[in-house]
Amino acid sequence: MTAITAVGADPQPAGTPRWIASSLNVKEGRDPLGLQTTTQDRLMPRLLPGILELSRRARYLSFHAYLLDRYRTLRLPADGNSLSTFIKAREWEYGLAVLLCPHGCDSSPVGASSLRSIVHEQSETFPRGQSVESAFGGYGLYYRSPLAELGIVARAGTQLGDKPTPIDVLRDTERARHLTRTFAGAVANTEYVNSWMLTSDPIPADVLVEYAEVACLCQLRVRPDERDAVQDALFGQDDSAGQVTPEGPRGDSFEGEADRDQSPTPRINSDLSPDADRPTDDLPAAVAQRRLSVAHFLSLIENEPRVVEDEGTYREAMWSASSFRSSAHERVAGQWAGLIAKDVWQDALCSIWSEFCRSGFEASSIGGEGLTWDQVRAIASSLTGGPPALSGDELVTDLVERISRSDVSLPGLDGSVHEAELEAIRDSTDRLDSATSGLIALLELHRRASERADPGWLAATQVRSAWQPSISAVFRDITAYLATSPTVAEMLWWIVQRYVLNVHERIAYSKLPEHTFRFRWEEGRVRFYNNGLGRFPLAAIRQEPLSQITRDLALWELTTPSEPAKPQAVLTDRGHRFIEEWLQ
Amino acid sequence: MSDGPTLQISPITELFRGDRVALWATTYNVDLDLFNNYLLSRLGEPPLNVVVIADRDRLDSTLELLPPDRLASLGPVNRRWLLRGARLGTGRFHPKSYLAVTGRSVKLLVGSGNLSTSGLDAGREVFAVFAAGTPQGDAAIRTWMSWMRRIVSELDDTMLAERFSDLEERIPRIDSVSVVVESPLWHNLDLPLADQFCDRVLARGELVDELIVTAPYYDETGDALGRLLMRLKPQRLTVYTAASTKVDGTKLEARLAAADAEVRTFAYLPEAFTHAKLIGAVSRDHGWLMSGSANLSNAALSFRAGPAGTGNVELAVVADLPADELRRAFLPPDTQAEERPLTSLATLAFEPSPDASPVPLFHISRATSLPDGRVEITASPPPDDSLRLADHNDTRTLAIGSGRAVTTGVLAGPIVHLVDRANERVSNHSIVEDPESLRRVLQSGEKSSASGRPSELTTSDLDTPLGQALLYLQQNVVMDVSETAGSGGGSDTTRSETQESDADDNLWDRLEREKLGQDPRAGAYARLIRPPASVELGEPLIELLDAMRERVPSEHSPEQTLLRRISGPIRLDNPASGTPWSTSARIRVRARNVLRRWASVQTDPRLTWVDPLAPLGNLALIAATFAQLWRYNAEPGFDAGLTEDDLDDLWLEWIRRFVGTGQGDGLLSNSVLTEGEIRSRLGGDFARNVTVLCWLAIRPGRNRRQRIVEWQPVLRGVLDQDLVEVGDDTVEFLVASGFKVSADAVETDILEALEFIDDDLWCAQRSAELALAGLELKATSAGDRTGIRIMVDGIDDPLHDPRIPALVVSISRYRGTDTVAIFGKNPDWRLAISGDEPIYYMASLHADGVESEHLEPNALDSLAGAAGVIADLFPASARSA
Repeated sequence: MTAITAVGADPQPAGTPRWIASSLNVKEGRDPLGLQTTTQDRLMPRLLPGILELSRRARYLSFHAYLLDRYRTLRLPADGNSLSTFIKAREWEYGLAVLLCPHGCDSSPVGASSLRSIVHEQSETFPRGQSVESAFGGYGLYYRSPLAELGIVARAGTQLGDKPTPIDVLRDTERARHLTRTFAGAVANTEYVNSWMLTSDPIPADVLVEYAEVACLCQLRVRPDERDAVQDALFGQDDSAGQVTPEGPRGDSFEGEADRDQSPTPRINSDLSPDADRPTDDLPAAVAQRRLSVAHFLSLIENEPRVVEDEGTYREAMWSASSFRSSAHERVAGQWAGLIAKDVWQDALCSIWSEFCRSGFEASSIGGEGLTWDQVRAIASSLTGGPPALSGDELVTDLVERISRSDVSLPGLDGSVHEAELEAIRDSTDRLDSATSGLIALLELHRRASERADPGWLAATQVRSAWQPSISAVFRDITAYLATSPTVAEMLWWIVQRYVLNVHERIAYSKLPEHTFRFRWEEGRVRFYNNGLGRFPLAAIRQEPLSQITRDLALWELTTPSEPAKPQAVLTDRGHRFIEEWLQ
Repeated sequence: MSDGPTLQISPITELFRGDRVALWATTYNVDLDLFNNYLLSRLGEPPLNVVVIADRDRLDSTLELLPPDRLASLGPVNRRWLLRGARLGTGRFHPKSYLAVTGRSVKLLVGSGNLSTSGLDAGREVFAVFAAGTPQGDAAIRTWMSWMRRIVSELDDTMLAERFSDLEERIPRIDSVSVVVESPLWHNLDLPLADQFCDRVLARGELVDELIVTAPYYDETGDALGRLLMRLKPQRLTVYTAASTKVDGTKLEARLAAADAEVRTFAYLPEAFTHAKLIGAVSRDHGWLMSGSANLSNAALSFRAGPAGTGNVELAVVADLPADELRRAFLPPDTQAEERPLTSLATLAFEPSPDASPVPLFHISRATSLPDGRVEITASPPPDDSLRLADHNDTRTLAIGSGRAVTTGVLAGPIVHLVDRANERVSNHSIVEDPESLRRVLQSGEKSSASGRPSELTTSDLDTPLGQALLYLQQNVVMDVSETAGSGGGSDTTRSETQESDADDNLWDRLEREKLGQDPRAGAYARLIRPPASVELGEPLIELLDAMRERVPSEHSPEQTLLRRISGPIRLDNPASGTPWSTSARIRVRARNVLRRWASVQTDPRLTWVDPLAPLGNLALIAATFAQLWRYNAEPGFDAGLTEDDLDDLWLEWIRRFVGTGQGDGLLSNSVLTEGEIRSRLGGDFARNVTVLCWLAIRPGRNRRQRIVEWQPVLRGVLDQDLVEVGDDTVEFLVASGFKVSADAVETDILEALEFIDDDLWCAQRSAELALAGLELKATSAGDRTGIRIMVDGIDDPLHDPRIPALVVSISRYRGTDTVAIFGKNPDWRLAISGDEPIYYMASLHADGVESEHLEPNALDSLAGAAGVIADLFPASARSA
């Protein structure tokens, strides 16, 4: 038995009661049903490995490679804090330069939100600062993982030789050297690099303008050597990494079993997450996948130039792509179509979730107590008011039949659901935010999905998260359930029970002490919380990075404003060659 | 109202931390999902003693609402932690208390918050915090432990009692209580809380200036508050309410309007359900504030709780505060109190009990999963065989008998209920408990029990033959029953307090019997002692010792590897062949401590609950071990870890507890077995080992007389129990141990030792026998007679002391003389006795002597036999000399 030591005196007399303070931090939670994570952590790293949603500008790859090389050649302290400070200071100055770009490109650098106000002051000199607060600045947030995944950077802790490197360093490869060399060559003669870079004095505006003249993000596309170096960084590989051909990559990004339906223990943030360094053996598959995905994106521009600027168009193009140059092309197109289907499923379910939470909160507010299981069931079953209004007693098979006869539409949708583009259906239910619109969207998605069986589609739709089944499993479940001839009311309850009730609580519990519950079982009753009763967003699916990076690499360009009236995206010769090289 | 900083507390952060070894909670309601999915995981890994006691009816209602889809959420309940519903008497079980224990600290929270998010985190609740190590904290924790012991006793549940015993062991010792204070924690098992509060306030003998109250629930008409007003007669009453305060506002308003006090009412803003319960009284600048679980109802305040009471079970904390501070305590943080007219109370509405669900015919208080998957239930009233037990999938018939109701087939649970012939549910739902899982959660981690080494030994000690032998004994038999059963119910204070107030303490004995009977080592005694005679348990021990010996670099090379033969039942931690065992003097000290501790607890009556013959079995194994160690010590180059003196010493410690001192005072005197049965059941080795060890104890050599004198009474006990048996194997064993003796010599030595006497021994024995301060013998010559002189210390009045005749008779027989002179040392009286001649007596060296009458033959023998005094032999005139 251990002895107790005396404790300090309490500032209040013994036994004085204290009012309690909450230790749970109430937050809305952005992924209450664990659907975003399927896209963010499972699908995107496989579809487009090495490119994050915010690693949007290609030139930052060469810029950061250059910084790491400078840090090494200057023999600055080999500790993370010093490197972080160095990078954030250089990003600050680079950001000012980009905002002062004499080419008028209107690019948005890392830290733009704070830099813009300084630039707007139009001073003759600019103070020194740091781009963003977090460690390693924009490099740490957006480009460190990609550069590591591309094989350009060895992150701190990587075994180099016989000991781990204490800080991030460039790998000693020709691709890395080429990247550094070309950016260094571009800025070598600037006054900034020669006189100001390592000082702490305010920098004259003209020094930054001169720097931007050659170093701005927009200038990559006109610097062929550096552009090739960045493209090689993104799509090439080191000699030692083995050969990859578009027809036969050494491995498939969707081959991993860790988070597919067969897996008994799905993982989240596993080794497939964007932040994790991939083993060298995965590099060829990742490179091949990146080439195929980017080439597929470029092929979409050929048919629909608006994919570079409009996410809806991008989604629909990804879903409905139908002309393929090769089996590899068909496979990657199927994968991206699976991603889009997953988003439609998410938004359809989100509509049911959203109305269920609203109705549940309203019902529990009336009684003041939580709701019994039967009351919850009644609420879910009665989410038929729409729009569009449905009869809870209607057999779902009859509803499906009506949809297929083009007898069903959604408010705001041009034409029937049966004939509408999938993206239009998704957008409708997102807008209508009603359980019936979600059910109709889901049934139509289920019908359309049943017509697909291509390998890429199958691979992508079998990916699940730790919380939710894959959409492939969802479709199977729906097929089986429809065979039981449920009514609309019964199916709404079935969906709520299966994909909402049982999932949300588990997720919310995993996030405690952040209280993200929309509802919770408390002593045999369900209590709803007004903790963000609305919808939750879709995860980003790389429309902007794909557009920006491929434009930076001069794989496409905008037509001149005069012909046609509005500039539109057209592939450059380089873009065509890229497609031909990797999709044929 | 004065402003000031308000200290707050986050109960979840305060209580649920990874360093906890125990957490006990009492609550009216419990949020099982929150507890299972969040709070429990914050407590860390086993060993962990977690118990929640909630109101029985409320818990039943919660389980009633649980749909089949949610049953999986009950997973950890009654597997990783214990949940019990409590009902004492007719009132509710309503106390909200949380005791959190770490290896070095104890924290107790008592307040208004139930075990739910609103009770512990989000609601308007208050808690008083006590930490061990402060006078008030220690006092409150003691009161809580004592109270809880009574609660556990009333619930009469051995699983709960087992965990409470475990809790008592986990509470760190409180060392430094410098000030004894009155406990600030009150319960209502003996006295209503209102009585305690009013007595406390009125004891000061001053008028009560103000009574201040807030509570979420009242009696319908505010009767309890009315009673407080009548007793305390405050000049002013201040009432804080929220819109959710449950009382018939109109009736309360009428009652307060009629009270002989100025009444002020305040509403909390912003409006929110306010669950805190506070009653404060102010006299001049002094205040008494009662917080805790008691609402402003008679069930909470005015009535006593417990089996015979009609009140709720409540806990309250009283604090002496300056008046300003007391008033400030009524205001929650970020809240204002807006004064309202008395008529505003009319907006409040009373709400009858929300738990008015129909009471089932039967109540299952406990459902236990048996190892074969059947389920045993404890229900009230006891079920008959017309009922069946059901979970959500299956229904099983019940086998009723011997006071048990057990399903005839497997029932998976996790909750079960009784159904009648019509398949109608006739009981509450009860969560099935898994006793093995519950015990594992308590036992995980390092603890000196069956799974670990004796607590005195270190890991390196196990690298010695002696350490391995002790480990083997620890793992295979129950040497120290307190390691299994606990210390016997925790602190004496709490136990005695319980016994004072509650005579029925059988629960704790039943608990210990149950625990001890479940010790897997208990089965060893059946193999060791039960007929047919077998020593299969002892043999591996000897083989272990042999094996260890063979690994010691010595001249002895074993012809075969015994280790291989015994490797099945015996685990060797360091079996690398040829690795020398590291021995040190420290193992000797630690091993002696282990063996002494074990010896000292063989007389613990609880050991017989493991098995009636467990002490005897332990003795047999210890005798075998000691005998073997003697042999190894005789081998060149081998250090058995204990010296010859150690072995003598320790054997004496062991054997004398069993055989006593020839006065029928040993364990074996009360054994259920006869001497013959003991020998036959323990086999010949037992008698041989006892004989060998006893002879070795009095063997020729250094300090022999001292050893004989020390051993003599024990040897008498050994012979009385017929445990000495000298045979060829005795001699062979002794020869192998380095003592070349014959069987006759062994027998003679033992008998001679038994009969040995000399003057010093005689004096010591008689001194002890007659309770004298000292005796000394000196041979003398009185004329032609050889006599003896005895110096006696400790007799003041020899004529009237009955010890004198006994002493004279004793010395006459010992020395064969009838001439005895007895000298007092202090005072210096003299007595001279010689045959039948008159006794000569001098009261002091300088006093005149007096003579007795002529003595009749055997007069002194008669006096000694009748405990008479020699004054009877003197003329009356001389008796007072």
